Amino acid sequence: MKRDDLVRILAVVGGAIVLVVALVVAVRLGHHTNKPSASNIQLDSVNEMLSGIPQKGITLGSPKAKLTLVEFADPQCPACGDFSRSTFPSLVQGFVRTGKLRIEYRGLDFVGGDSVRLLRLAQAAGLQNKLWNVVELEYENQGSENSGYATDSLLRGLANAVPELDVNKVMATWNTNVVVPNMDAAQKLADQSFKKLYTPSFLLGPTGAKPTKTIVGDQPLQDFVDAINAELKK
Amino acid sequence: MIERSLRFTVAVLALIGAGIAGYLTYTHFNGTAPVCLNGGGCEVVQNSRWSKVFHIPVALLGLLAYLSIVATTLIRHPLAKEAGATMAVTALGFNAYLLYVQAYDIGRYCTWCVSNEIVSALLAPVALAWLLWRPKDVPA
Repeated sequence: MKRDDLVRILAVVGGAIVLVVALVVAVRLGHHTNKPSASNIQLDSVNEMLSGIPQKGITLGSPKAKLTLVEFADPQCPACGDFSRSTFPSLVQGFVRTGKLRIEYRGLDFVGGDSVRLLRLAQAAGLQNKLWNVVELEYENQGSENSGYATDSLLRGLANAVPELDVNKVMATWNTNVVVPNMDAAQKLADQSFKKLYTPSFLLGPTGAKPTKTIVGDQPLQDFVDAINAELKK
Repeated sequence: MIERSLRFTVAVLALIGAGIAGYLTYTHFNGTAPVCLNGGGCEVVQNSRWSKVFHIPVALLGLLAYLSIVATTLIRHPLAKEAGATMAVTALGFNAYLLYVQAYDIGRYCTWCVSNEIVSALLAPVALAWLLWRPKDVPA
C-alpha cells in the first residue's frame, strides 16, 4: 500500500472512530443529567408514554389486567433509574397499554433524605392519581445520591411538568402525614416479601392473588417479557 | 469502469440503508410499531433509551447519514470520497455498538436494525475500496 493511501485510510478511520465514540457517549449520557434543576426538567416522553393509561393511587393500568407487577424501588437508586428509563417504557407499551398488566409502585426511601422528599411528592401526586408521572419524571431527572438535589424548587418543577396535576394541592400535602400510610405499607410489604432487599425488585402474579414470581434487580427486558408471557399463558 | 461500479455499489447500498432507516424514522414519528419478523423485538428496541441521541431518533441520524453518503457519490469534489468513506465507517462502528446494545442491554433484536447493520457492514469496505481505487497508470 502506498504511503498516500495509508494516510487516507488513517484519516478516514481516525475520523470515524472519533465520531463513533462521540455518538456512543451521547447515547449513553445524552438525556441523563446528574444536576437536575427546576428550570431544566427533562421530560423525555414520560407524559406521552403514560397518556391515556388509567392510574389509581400507586397503580398503573387497568384494574381488570390479568397480572400485577409490584415494583419495589427507591427514587434515588441508580439501578431503579436504569430500569425506569430502559425497561419500563417497553413494558408499558407492550403489556400495560394492552390491558394485560398493571404495575404497583412500592416506593422505599432507604437511600437517604432526598429519597424521602421525592417519595413524598410521588405519593402526594398519587392522591390525584398522577403518581406514575411524578415517579417517572423523578427517574428521568435523577441526580447524584444524597447530594441534596431534591430541593423544594425541583419538587415544584417536577409537579409542574405533570399535565392536569393540581400543583398547589400537591405542594400543600407532600410534607404532611397524609402520604405516610402508603410509604409505611410499602416498607412493610418489602420486609414481608424479601429477606434481603435489593432494588429494584419485583413481584409478579395474578391480580388479586399471591405473587408467583420474584425478579430481583434491573434484569434485561427479555427476562421481564418471558416471565410475563409465561404467567399470561397459565 | 471499476471506479463507476464501486461508486454505483456505494450509492445502492446507501440507498438501501436509507430505505430501512427511513422506514424506522417514519414509524417513530408516526407512533406505529414497525412490522417485525421476530415478535415485538423491533418495537422494544425502537422504544428503548438507546433509540435516541439527545432526543433525536437514531433512525433519523442513520437516514441523514445514508443520504449524505449517496450525495457524496453524486458530487465531484476532491474530498467527496473521503467524506463518504468516513460516514460509511462511522455507520459500521456505531451499528456495531447498537448490535451490542441489542444483545446485552435490551436482550431483543430488531430485524430492521440488524438488516441495517448488515448493510453498513457491506457498505464500509466498498466505500473504502472506492476511496483507494485508482487506475494502474495514474500516479497517486
